[in-house]
Amino acid sequence: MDSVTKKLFWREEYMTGIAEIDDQHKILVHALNEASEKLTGDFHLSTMEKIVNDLLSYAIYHFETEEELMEEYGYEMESDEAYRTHLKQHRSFSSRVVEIHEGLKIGTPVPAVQLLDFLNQWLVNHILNTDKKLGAHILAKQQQANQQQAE
Amino acid sequence: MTHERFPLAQAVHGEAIEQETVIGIKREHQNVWFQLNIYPLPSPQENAPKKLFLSLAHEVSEAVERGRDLSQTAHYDALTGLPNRALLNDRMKTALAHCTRTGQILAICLLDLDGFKPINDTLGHEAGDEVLKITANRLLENMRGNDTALRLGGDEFVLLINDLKSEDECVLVLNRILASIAKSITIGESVCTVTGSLGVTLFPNDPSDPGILLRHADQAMYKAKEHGKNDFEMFDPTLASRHRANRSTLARIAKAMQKKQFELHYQPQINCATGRMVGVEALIRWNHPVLGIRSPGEFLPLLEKDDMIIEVGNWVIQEALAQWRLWKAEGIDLTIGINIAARQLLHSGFGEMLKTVHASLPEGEANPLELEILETAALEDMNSVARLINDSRRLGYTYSLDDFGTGYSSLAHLKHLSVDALKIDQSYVRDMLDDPGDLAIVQGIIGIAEAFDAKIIAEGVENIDQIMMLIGMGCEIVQGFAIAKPMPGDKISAWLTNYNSNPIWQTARDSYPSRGQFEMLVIEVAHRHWFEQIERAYRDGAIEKGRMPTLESYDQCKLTSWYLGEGAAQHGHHSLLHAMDVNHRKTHEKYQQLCDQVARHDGISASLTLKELNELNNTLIMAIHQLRFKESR
Repeated sequence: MDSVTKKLFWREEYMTGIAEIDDQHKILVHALNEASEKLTGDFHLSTMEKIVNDLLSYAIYHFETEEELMEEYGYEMESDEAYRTHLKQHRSFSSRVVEIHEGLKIGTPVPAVQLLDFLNQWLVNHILNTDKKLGAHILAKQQQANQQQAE
Repeated sequence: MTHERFPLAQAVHGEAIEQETVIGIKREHQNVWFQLNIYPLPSPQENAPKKLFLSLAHEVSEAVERGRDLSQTAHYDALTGLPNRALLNDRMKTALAHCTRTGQILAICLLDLDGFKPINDTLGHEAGDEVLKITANRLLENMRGNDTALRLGGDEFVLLINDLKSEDECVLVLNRILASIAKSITIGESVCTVTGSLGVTLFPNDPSDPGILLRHADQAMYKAKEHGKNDFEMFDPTLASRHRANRSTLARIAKAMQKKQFELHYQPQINCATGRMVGVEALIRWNHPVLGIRSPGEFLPLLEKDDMIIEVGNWVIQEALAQWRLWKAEGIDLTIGINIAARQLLHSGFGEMLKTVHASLPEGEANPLELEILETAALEDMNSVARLINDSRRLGYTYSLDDFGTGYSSLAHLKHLSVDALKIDQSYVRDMLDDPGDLAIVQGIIGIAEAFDAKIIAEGVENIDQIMMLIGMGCEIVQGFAIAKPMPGDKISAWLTNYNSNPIWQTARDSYPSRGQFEMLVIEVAHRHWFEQIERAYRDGAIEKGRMPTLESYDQCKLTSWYLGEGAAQHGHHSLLHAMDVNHRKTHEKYQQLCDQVARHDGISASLTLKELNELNNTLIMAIHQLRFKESR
């Protein structure tokens, strides 16, 4: 099995420490697993459509969750650059998924490998990197607030 | 019990003894239980150095064994000796805690025997009991010490398998268990077999609560039964979490509807022959409080299979009509294209809704709504849709097929549905200048529209070349960023004023492209594509293969025949024309040179030649471009 088709298990290192975010990330890991399992050999396009629809849905509820947290914890104020990068990545994920969906719609779907690559890249670049920064920011803020309360 | 805890030892140390002490020993495979008591004895002498104790042990085996039996029946299955349902919660808790501590995988399995009932029925209950006992033993044989096999009742068992390192390891264990269960069993003179259907869910991949984990295993077990038994089925947490997550997105969209977060933007459609704006397409946007403005492609597909698409679709019609009334008050009269999803069109209330809307229009006004049918492939009942279209056309509604030419919208639909217009999908328009295949499709669609006497509208035009190409092919109504981006309704009036008075558009309108200019554009596109084919072949390992594709030579090239004919007639006096021809000849010669180098597998020379060829071709295209604009003056 190559790295693309190997099943991923949720791992400690994926954790941002923010339960809400982590729970939703698990869904994406599942989606990635499902995609690598089902989009092999001959598969029906409706399978890919289901997966892409899930990704569209994910882009709404998950990004909403994260961006609400950013607002709540003053991410933009304190880490302007990280905030911008993060938002940019969200928007580019959405537009890539829309692109993939359009391709399916007009009957020219992207090769499954490309979809899997895209999701794998997202996991590595976004969840393991960008989201962890946000997680650390929120945790630090929460700790700060707890200390202030204690004083 | 350590020696220090023996009553005698405690008493010697002067400790008080509060609990009754019962110890058990095994004698000839039998448990023998004693109750120990200790009594201090008065010393015979004052100040005696030694204290005396009386230690008594009396056998209490019968009472103890009876008590043990009672607790055994409460917690253990009398037939198989396995823990029973009463211990399920406890065992689950222990296993989950263990798994969380070790970070390994826990498999929660539900096992149901296949073919057990017939044994009970034909060989009797005793035989059935025997099978259960043997099966229980087989389960234990294939599990480790701290795993649990538990009998739920009947022929149902729960297995908790600890310390799995991977799903693969789990599969191995399960297969071993299933194989062992399926071995034949001899009872008296009969031989019988049962098999197992196993449903499994893996913690922490499935991070649910204990009760839910069991339910997941149960669901998977039913799947295993459905799929032909003697097998296991893994519960797929994706399905469950997907379901939950997607419901939550739908709920968010419903809330957005309530909170009026949707808005319509309008994109102008221009008739290039007259230069007039002929209509707009209404496009929905989600003004999301956190995510900002989201495009329809990001959320509409999520609604397409839900009735909410009908609610949203009806809102769009009402909103567009309200905008139309505002425009009317300003003296602007436009048709408004409205996207209609298949589900909405098929909905039983749709025809009635159209009637109500029509009745609400001011008397004597033409119906401004053009209904654009999306994804016609999803129209299951073509006859009723055809009827609906015919009925509502009498009310002045017009219809178009959206995204025409894509998988969703095809010729068969065109034959069945009487529509007024076809919209060419933007993907073809976008790529037609780079891809002759797309260009041919656009040309084909335009021809089909003519044959069916339908209007044709091109979506997604991004630049003036695309517009000229479309006009040249006979498509005059265009929509896209080259004209205007979608804008809020109240911006249309200002845009229109600006557009009408914009001298650039005046010139564009006046210099409506000639036949000749169109041909030159086609030639320009063809030469761009000619080079792209070369580049692609080169990238795809032409050097290794030692072969380049056979392409048009200078003599076969469209540009050459244009140069000799139209070109010479129109621009014969231009030095530009001759310079272009010299360059053109060189370009084709360069390609020949490249072919030779590739045939010799001479990669270094070939890569240099390819660079030169690229430059030559660019210069050539620039020259065609210049001649084209000379033509337009």
